[in-house]
Amino acid sequence: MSSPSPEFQHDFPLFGTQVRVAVDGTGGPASDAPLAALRVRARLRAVHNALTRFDAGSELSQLNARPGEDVVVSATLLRAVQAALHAAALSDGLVDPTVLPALQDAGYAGSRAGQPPAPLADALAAAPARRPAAAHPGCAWTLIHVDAERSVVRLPPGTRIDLGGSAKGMAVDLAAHALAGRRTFAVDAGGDIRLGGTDAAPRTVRIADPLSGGIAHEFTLVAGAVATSGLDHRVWRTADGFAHHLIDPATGTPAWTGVVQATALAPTALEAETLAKTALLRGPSTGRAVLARYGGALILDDGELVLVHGADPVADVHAQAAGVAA
Amino acid sequence: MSDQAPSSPAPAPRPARTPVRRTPLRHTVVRLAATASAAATLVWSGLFYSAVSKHYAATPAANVPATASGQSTAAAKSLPPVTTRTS
Repeated sequence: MSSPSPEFQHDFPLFGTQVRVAVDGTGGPASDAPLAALRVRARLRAVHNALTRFDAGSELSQLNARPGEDVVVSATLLRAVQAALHAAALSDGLVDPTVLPALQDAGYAGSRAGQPPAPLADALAAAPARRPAAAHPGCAWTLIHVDAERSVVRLPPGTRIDLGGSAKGMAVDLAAHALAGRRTFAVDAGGDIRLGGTDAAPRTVRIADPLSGGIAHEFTLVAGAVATSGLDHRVWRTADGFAHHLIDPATGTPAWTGVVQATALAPTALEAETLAKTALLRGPSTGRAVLARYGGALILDDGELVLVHGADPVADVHAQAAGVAA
Repeated sequence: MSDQAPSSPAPAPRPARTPVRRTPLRHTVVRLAATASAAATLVWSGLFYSAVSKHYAATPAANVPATASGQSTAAAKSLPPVTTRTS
Protein backbone atom coordinates (compact mmCIF):
# COMPACT_ATOMS: atom_id res chain seq x y z
CA MET A 1 0.00 0.00 0.00
CA SER A 2 1.39 3.37 -0.92
CA SER A 3 1.27 6.34 1.36
CA PRO A 4 -2.17 7.96 1.22
CA SER A 5 -2.59 11.22 -0.60
CA PRO A 6 -3.80 14.26 1.29
CA GLU A 7 -7.54 14.68 1.52
CA PHE A 8 -9.92 17.43 0.56
CA GLN A 9 -12.58 17.95 3.23
CA HIS A 10 -16.00 19.49 2.74
CA ASP A 11 -18.24 20.27 5.75
CA PHE A 12 -21.90 21.25 5.67
CA PRO A 13 -25.01 21.03 7.87
CA LEU A 14 -27.58 18.37 7.03
CA PHE A 15 -29.75 15.78 8.81
CA GLY A 16 -29.83 18.14 11.80
CA THR A 17 -26.10 17.67 12.27
CA GLN A 18 -22.74 18.40 10.64
CA VAL A 19 -21.67 16.28 7.70
CA ARG A 20 -18.09 15.89 6.51
CA VAL A 21 -17.07 14.39 3.17
CA ALA A 22 -13.34 13.74 2.78
CA VAL A 23 -11.81 12.45 -0.45
CA ASP A 24 -8.28 12.01 -1.72
CA GLY A 25 -6.99 15.05 -3.53
CA THR A 26 -5.95 18.52 -2.57
CA GLY A 27 -8.68 20.68 -4.00
CA GLY A 28 -6.09 22.33 -6.23
CA PRO A 29 -6.75 23.17 -9.89
CA ALA A 30 -5.73 19.72 -11.04
CA SER A 31 -7.92 17.92 -8.51
CA ASP A 32 -11.47 16.68 -9.02
CA ALA A 33 -11.90 16.18 -5.28
CA PRO A 34 -14.08 19.29 -4.73
CA LEU A 35 -16.43 18.22 -7.50
CA ALA A 36 -16.70 14.71 -6.08
CA ALA A 37 -17.51 16.13 -2.64
CA LEU A 38 -20.09 18.53 -4.04
CA ARG A 39 -21.79 15.74 -5.94
CA VAL A 40 -22.08 13.75 -2.73
CA ARG A 41 -23.46 16.80 -0.93
CA ALA A 42 -26.13 17.23 -3.60
CA ARG A 43 -27.05 13.56 -3.36
CA LEU A 44 -27.31 13.67 0.42
CA ARG A 45 -29.41 16.83 0.32
CA ALA A 46 -31.85 15.18 -2.09
CA VAL A 47 -32.15 12.22 0.28
CA HIS A 48 -32.69 14.53 3.25
CA ASN A 49 -35.33 16.60 1.48
CA ALA A 50 -37.30 13.48 0.56
CA LEU A 51 -37.08 11.83 3.97
CA THR A 52 -37.33 14.56 6.60
CA ARG A 53 -40.44 14.45 8.76
CA PHE A 54 -39.99 18.09 9.73
CA ASP A 55 -41.16 19.36 6.35
CA ALA A 56 -44.85 18.88 5.61
CA GLY A 57 -44.03 18.93 1.91
CA SER A 58 -41.45 16.14 2.01
CA GLU A 59 -42.22 12.87 0.31
CA LEU A 60 -42.16 11.09 3.67
CA SER A 61 -44.73 13.53 5.10
CA GLN A 62 -46.96 12.92 2.10
CA LEU A 63 -46.70 9.18 2.65
CA ASN A 64 -47.51 9.60 6.34
CA ALA A 65 -50.59 11.62 5.39
CA ARG A 66 -52.05 8.68 3.48
CA PRO A 67 -51.98 5.58 5.71
CA GLY A 68 -53.97 2.68 4.36
CA GLU A 69 -53.46 3.77 0.75
CA ASP A 70 -51.14 2.52 -1.97
CA VAL A 71 -48.71 5.38 -2.53
CA VAL A 72 -46.32 5.47 -5.48
CA VAL A 73 -42.96 6.64 -4.14
CA SER A 74 -39.56 7.64 -5.49
CA ALA A 75 -36.63 5.25 -5.57
CA THR A 76 -35.15 7.15 -2.62
CA LEU A 77 -38.19 6.73 -0.37
CA LEU A 78 -38.69 3.16 -1.49
CA ARG A 79 -35.12 2.30 -0.55
CA ALA A 80 -35.40 4.19 2.75
CA VAL A 81 -38.54 2.29 3.76
CA GLN A 82 -36.80 -0.97 2.85
CA ALA A 83 -33.81 0.12 4.94
CA ALA A 84 -36.08 0.89 7.91
CA LEU A 85 -37.74 -2.50 7.65
CA HIS A 86 -34.32 -4.16 7.41
CA ALA A 87 -33.30 -2.34 10.60
CA ALA A 88 -36.51 -3.41 12.33
CA ALA A 89 -35.95 -7.04 11.35
CA LEU A 90 -32.25 -6.95 12.33
CA SER A 91 -33.20 -5.58 15.76
CA ASP A 92 -36.16 -7.93 16.32
CA GLY A 93 -38.49 -4.95 16.29
CA LEU A 94 -36.54 -2.70 18.68
CA VAL A 95 -35.59 -0.19 15.98
CA ASP A 96 -39.19 0.37 14.99
CA PRO A 97 -40.09 3.05 12.42
CA THR A 98 -43.72 3.15 13.63
CA VAL A 99 -42.88 4.79 16.98
CA LEU A 100 -43.35 8.24 15.46
CA PRO A 101 -46.57 9.09 17.40
CA ALA A 102 -44.86 8.11 20.68
CA LEU A 103 -41.84 10.19 19.74
CA GLN A 104 -44.05 13.20 19.13
CA ASP A 105 -45.95 12.59 22.37
CA ALA A 106 -42.63 12.57 24.20
CA GLY A 107 -41.99 16.10 22.93
CA TYR A 108 -40.05 15.51 19.72
CA ALA A 109 -42.55 16.86 17.22
CA GLY A 110 -40.29 19.45 15.59
CA SER A 111 -36.63 19.56 14.70
CA ARG A 112 -34.31 20.04 17.67
CA ALA A 113 -31.37 21.11 15.52
CA GLY A 114 -29.61 23.99 17.21
CA GLN A 115 -31.42 23.54 20.53
CA PRO A 116 -29.11 22.83 23.47
CA PRO A 117 -29.87 19.52 25.18
CA ALA A 118 -30.76 19.27 28.86
CA PRO A 119 -27.87 18.17 31.12
CA LEU A 120 -27.48 14.41 30.76
CA ALA A 121 -26.40 13.96 34.38
CA ASP A 122 -29.58 15.65 35.59
CA ALA A 123 -31.69 13.50 33.28
CA LEU A 124 -30.02 10.30 34.49
CA ALA A 125 -30.50 11.31 38.11
CA ALA A 126 -34.22 11.89 37.55
CA ALA A 127 -34.82 8.88 35.28
CA PRO A 128 -37.00 5.94 36.32
CA ALA A 129 -35.65 2.49 37.17
CA ARG A 130 -33.53 1.09 34.37
CA ARG A 131 -34.88 -1.74 32.29
CA PRO A 132 -34.29 -3.13 28.80
CA ALA A 133 -36.57 -1.98 26.02
CA ALA A 134 -38.70 -4.47 24.10
CA ALA A 135 -40.49 -4.73 20.78
CA HIS A 136 -44.12 -3.68 20.56
CA PRO A 137 -46.28 -6.80 20.64
CA GLY A 138 -48.36 -5.54 17.71
CA CYS A 139 -45.27 -5.18 15.48
CA ALA A 140 -47.06 -2.72 13.16
CA TRP A 141 -43.87 -2.43 11.11
CA THR A 142 -44.42 -5.96 9.82
CA LEU A 143 -47.66 -4.73 8.23
CA ILE A 144 -45.96 -2.08 6.10
CA HIS A 145 -46.42 -3.21 2.53
CA VAL A 146 -43.66 -2.57 -0.02
CA ASP A 147 -44.05 -3.43 -3.69
CA ALA A 148 -40.63 -2.72 -5.17
CA GLU A 149 -41.66 -3.54 -8.74
CA ARG A 150 -44.47 -0.97 -8.70
CA SER A 151 -42.61 1.43 -6.37
CA VAL A 152 -45.58 1.36 -4.03
CA VAL A 153 -45.63 1.64 -0.24
CA ARG A 154 -48.74 1.18 1.91
CA LEU A 155 -48.70 2.01 5.61
CA PRO A 156 -51.18 0.22 7.85
CA PRO A 157 -54.22 2.37 8.75
CA GLY A 158 -53.40 4.80 11.55
CA THR A 159 -49.64 4.30 11.16
CA ARG A 160 -47.02 6.96 10.53
CA ILE A 161 -43.30 6.32 10.32
CA ASP A 162 -40.05 8.03 11.20
CA LEU A 163 -37.05 6.98 9.13
CA GLY A 164 -34.55 8.89 11.31
CA GLY A 165 -31.37 6.95 11.97
CA SER A 166 -31.89 4.29 9.32
CA ALA A 167 -32.28 6.98 6.65
CA LYS A 168 -29.08 8.66 7.77
CA GLY A 169 -27.24 5.36 7.71
CA MET A 170 -28.59 4.60 4.26
CA ALA A 171 -27.56 8.05 3.03
CA VAL A 172 -24.01 7.54 4.28
CA ASP A 173 -23.91 4.18 2.50
CA LEU A 174 -25.11 5.79 -0.73
CA ALA A 175 -22.36 8.39 -0.43
CA ALA A 176 -19.79 5.68 0.21
CA HIS A 177 -21.00 3.85 -2.88
CA ALA A 178 -20.57 7.00 -4.95
CA LEU A 179 -17.01 7.42 -3.66
CA ALA A 180 -15.97 3.78 -3.87
CA GLY A 181 -13.61 4.46 -6.79
CA ARG A 182 -11.61 7.12 -4.92
CA ARG A 183 -8.22 6.24 -3.43
CA THR A 184 -9.45 7.20 0.05
CA PHE A 185 -12.68 8.62 1.43
CA ALA A 186 -14.56 9.25 4.65
CA VAL A 187 -18.20 10.21 5.03
CA ASP A 188 -19.24 11.34 8.51
CA ALA A 189 -22.85 12.35 9.14
CA GLY A 190 -22.80 13.38 12.78
CA GLY A 191 -21.03 10.22 13.90
CA ASP A 192 -22.43 7.75 11.35
CA ILE A 193 -19.24 7.06 9.44
CA ARG A 194 -18.11 5.12 6.39
CA LEU A 195 -14.43 4.79 5.54
CA GLY A 196 -12.80 3.20 2.52
CA GLY A 197 -11.30 3.65 -0.92
CA THR A 198 -9.21 1.68 -3.38
CA ASP A 199 -6.05 2.56 -1.45
CA ALA A 200 -7.60 2.97 1.99
CA ALA A 201 -5.20 3.50 4.86
CA PRO A 202 -5.55 3.28 8.64
CA ARG A 203 -7.51 6.11 10.13
CA THR A 204 -8.02 6.91 13.80
CA VAL A 205 -11.63 6.65 14.96
CA ARG A 206 -12.42 8.42 18.22
CA ILE A 207 -15.43 7.64 20.36
CA ALA A 208 -16.74 10.74 22.08
CA ASP A 209 -17.64 10.45 25.75
CA PRO A 210 -21.12 11.93 26.37
CA LEU A 211 -20.54 12.32 30.10
CA SER A 212 -17.09 13.90 30.21
CA GLY A 213 -17.11 15.61 26.85
CA GLY A 214 -13.71 14.04 26.11
CA ILE A 215 -12.67 11.01 24.12
CA ALA A 216 -13.63 7.67 25.66
CA HIS A 217 -11.61 5.48 23.33
CA GLU A 218 -9.86 5.46 19.99
CA PHE A 219 -8.86 2.78 17.53
CA THR A 220 -7.83 2.52 13.90
CA LEU A 221 -10.02 1.42 11.03
CA VAL A 222 -9.15 1.06 7.36
CA ALA A 223 -12.56 0.45 5.81
CA GLY A 224 -16.09 -0.15 7.04
CA ALA A 225 -18.65 1.67 9.12
CA VAL A 226 -18.97 3.01 12.66
CA ALA A 227 -22.07 4.52 14.23
CA THR A 228 -22.99 5.81 17.66
CA SER A 229 -26.39 6.09 19.28
CA GLY A 230 -26.92 7.88 22.57
CA LEU A 231 -29.09 10.00 24.78
CA ASP A 232 -26.99 13.12 25.26
CA HIS A 233 -27.65 15.10 22.13
CA ARG A 234 -31.45 14.90 22.12
CA VAL A 235 -32.58 14.98 25.73
CA TRP A 236 -35.01 17.60 26.99
CA ARG A 237 -37.01 18.63 30.01
CA THR A 238 -40.70 17.79 30.28
CA ALA A 239 -43.41 18.77 32.76
CA ASP A 240 -42.61 15.74 34.89
CA GLY A 241 -38.94 15.12 34.29
CA PHE A 242 -36.83 14.43 31.21
CA ALA A 243 -37.33 12.73 27.88
CA HIS A 244 -35.14 11.72 24.95
CA HIS A 245 -35.55 10.44 21.42
CA LEU A 246 -34.87 6.72 21.82
CA ILE A 247 -38.29 5.20 22.35
CA ASP A 248 -39.02 1.84 23.94
CA PRO A 249 -41.52 0.40 21.43
CA ALA A 250 -43.22 -1.70 24.10
CA THR A 251 -44.10 1.26 26.34
CA GLY A 252 -44.06 4.12 23.85
CA THR A 253 -41.90 6.14 26.25
CA PRO A 254 -38.20 7.04 26.28
CA ALA A 255 -35.99 4.05 27.11
CA TRP A 256 -33.79 4.28 30.21
CA THR A 257 -31.78 1.08 30.03
CA GLY A 258 -28.56 1.83 31.87
CA VAL A 259 -26.63 2.54 28.63
CA VAL A 260 -26.15 6.18 27.69
CA GLN A 261 -24.25 5.54 24.47
CA ALA A 262 -23.49 2.61 22.19
CA THR A 263 -21.01 2.48 19.33
CA ALA A 264 -21.09 -0.30 16.76
CA LEU A 265 -18.84 -1.34 13.91
CA ALA A 266 -20.25 -3.05 10.82
CA PRO A 267 -19.66 -3.32 7.08
CA THR A 268 -22.33 -0.68 6.34
CA ALA A 269 -23.54 2.44 8.13
CA LEU A 270 -27.12 1.16 8.13
CA GLU A 271 -26.07 -1.96 10.00
CA ALA A 272 -23.79 -0.05 12.36
CA GLU A 273 -26.53 2.47 13.14
CA THR A 274 -29.02 -0.33 13.76
CA LEU A 275 -26.66 -2.35 15.96
CA ALA A 276 -25.72 0.70 18.02
CA LYS A 277 -29.34 1.64 18.69
CA THR A 278 -30.28 -1.97 19.42
CA ALA A 279 -27.41 -2.36 21.89
CA LEU A 280 -28.48 0.80 23.73
CA LEU A 281 -32.11 -0.28 23.86
CA ARG A 282 -31.26 -3.76 25.13
CA GLY A 283 -29.25 -2.41 28.05
CA PRO A 284 -25.86 -3.38 29.53
CA SER A 285 -26.30 -7.13 29.88
CA THR A 286 -27.60 -8.14 26.46
CA GLY A 287 -26.29 -5.06 24.65
CA ARG A 288 -22.83 -6.64 24.64
CA ALA A 289 -24.15 -9.61 22.69
CA VAL A 290 -25.59 -7.29 20.03
CA LEU A 291 -22.11 -5.91 19.40
CA ALA A 292 -20.36 -9.26 19.54
CA ARG A 293 -20.18 -9.91 15.80
CA TYR A 294 -18.28 -6.84 14.61
CA GLY A 295 -17.24 -5.20 17.88
CA GLY A 296 -18.20 -1.97 19.57
CA ALA A 297 -18.38 -0.10 22.83
CA LEU A 298 -20.94 0.80 25.47
CA ILE A 299 -20.83 3.67 27.93
CA LEU A 300 -23.00 3.00 30.93
CA ASP A 301 -24.91 5.45 33.11
CA ASP A 302 -22.06 5.54 35.64
CA GLY A 303 -19.50 6.33 32.93
CA GLU A 304 -18.04 2.83 32.69
CA LEU A 305 -16.65 2.01 29.26
CA VAL A 306 -17.35 -1.52 28.03
CA LEU A 307 -15.36 -2.60 24.97
CA VAL A 308 -16.78 -5.54 23.04
CA HIS A 309 -14.50 -7.77 21.02
CA GLY A 310 -15.80 -8.59 17.54
CA ALA A 311 -15.91 -12.22 16.46
CA ASP A 312 -16.05 -11.24 12.79
CA PRO A 313 -14.46 -7.85 13.09
CA VAL A 314 -14.53 -5.07 10.58
CA ALA A 315 -11.89 -3.81 12.95
CA ASP A 316 -11.35 -4.86 16.48
CA VAL A 317 -11.73 -1.98 18.88
CA HIS A 318 -9.21 -3.70 21.16
CA ALA A 319 -6.60 -4.38 18.50
CA GLN A 320 -4.61 -1.33 17.53
CA ALA A 321 -6.36 0.65 20.24
CA ALA A 322 -4.56 3.89 20.71
CA GLY A 323 -5.59 4.30 24.32
CA VAL A 324 -8.29 5.78 26.47
CA ALA A 325 -8.30 9.45 27.31
CA ALA A 326 -11.46 10.39 29.09
CA MET B 1 -33.60 55.19 -84.48
CA SER B 2 -30.14 54.10 -84.26
CA ASP B 3 -28.91 51.67 -81.79
CA GLN B 4 -27.57 53.44 -78.85
CA ALA B 5 -25.29 52.30 -76.28
CA PRO B 6 -26.89 52.07 -72.87
CA SER B 7 -26.67 55.32 -71.00
CA SER B 8 -25.06 53.63 -68.00
CA PRO B 9 -22.14 51.52 -68.86
CA ALA B 10 -21.83 48.08 -67.42
CA PRO B 11 -19.86 48.14 -64.17
CA ALA B 12 -16.26 47.34 -64.50
CA PRO B 13 -15.33 43.98 -63.11
CA ARG B 14 -14.16 44.27 -59.51
CA PRO B 15 -10.62 43.34 -58.84
CA ALA B 16 -10.20 39.96 -57.24
CA ARG B 17 -10.18 40.13 -53.46
CA THR B 18 -6.85 39.57 -51.90
CA PRO B 19 -7.16 37.22 -48.94
CA VAL B 20 -6.22 38.82 -45.63
CA ARG B 21 -3.11 37.23 -44.39
CA ARG B 22 -1.54 37.52 -40.99
CA THR B 23 1.94 38.65 -41.29
CA PRO B 24 4.46 36.35 -39.75
CA LEU B 25 5.21 39.05 -37.17
CA ARG B 26 1.58 39.30 -36.06
CA HIS B 27 1.36 35.57 -35.84
CA THR B 28 4.41 35.47 -33.67
CA VAL B 29 3.06 38.18 -31.35
CA VAL B 30 -0.20 36.30 -30.90
CA ARG B 31 1.65 33.12 -30.17
CA LEU B 32 3.95 34.84 -27.71
CA ALA B 33 0.99 36.39 -25.90
CA ALA B 34 -0.76 33.04 -25.63
CA THR B 35 2.38 31.38 -24.38
CA ALA B 36 2.97 34.09 -21.81
CA SER B 37 -0.61 33.79 -20.59
CA ALA B 38 -0.35 30.02 -20.30
CA ALA B 39 2.96 30.32 -18.51
CA ALA B 40 1.50 32.81 -16.03
CA THR B 41 -1.43 30.51 -15.36
CA LEU B 42 0.92 27.60 -14.93
CA VAL B 43 3.10 29.48 -12.48
CA TRP B 44 0.10 30.73 -10.50
CA SER B 45 -1.48 27.29 -10.48
CA GLY B 46 1.77 25.70 -9.46
CA LEU B 47 2.20 28.09 -6.55
CA PHE B 48 -1.40 27.60 -5.43
CA TYR B 49 -1.27 23.85 -5.80
CA SER B 50 2.03 23.72 -3.98
CA ALA B 51 0.67 25.77 -1.08
CA VAL B 52 -2.45 23.65 -0.77
CA SER B 53 -0.46 20.45 -1.06
CA LYS B 54 1.85 21.58 1.72
CA HIS B 55 -1.14 22.42 3.87
CA TYR B 56 -2.72 19.01 3.48
CA ALA B 57 0.59 17.21 3.71
CA ALA B 58 1.02 18.88 7.08
CA THR B 59 -2.47 18.01 8.32
CA PRO B 60 -2.00 14.29 9.11
CA ALA B 61 1.26 14.92 10.92
CA ALA B 62 -0.45 17.50 13.11
CA ASN B 63 -2.75 14.80 14.42
CA VAL B 64 0.04 12.49 15.41
CA PRO B 65 2.04 12.88 18.61
CA ALA B 66 5.72 12.44 17.99
CA THR B 67 7.30 9.42 19.58
CA ALA B 68 10.43 9.56 21.69
CA SER B 69 12.48 8.98 18.59
CA GLY B 70 10.79 11.87 16.91
CA GLN B 71 8.65 10.12 14.34
CA SER B 72 5.85 7.60 14.28
CA THR B 73 5.93 5.82 10.96
CA ALA B 74 2.60 4.10 11.49
CA ALA B 75 0.99 7.38 12.34
CA ALA B 76 2.67 9.17 9.44
CA LYS B 77 0.72 6.98 7.04
CA SER B 78 -2.57 7.62 8.78
CA LEU B 79 -5.39 9.70 7.38
CA PRO B 80 -7.09 12.49 9.33
CA PRO B 81 -9.10 11.05 12.24
CA VAL B 82 -12.86 10.93 12.58
CA THR B 83 -14.99 11.08 15.71
CA THR B 84 -18.15 9.10 16.26
CA ARG B 85 -20.70 10.58 18.63
CA THR B 86 -24.39 10.90 19.24
CA SER B 87 -26.04 13.32 16.88
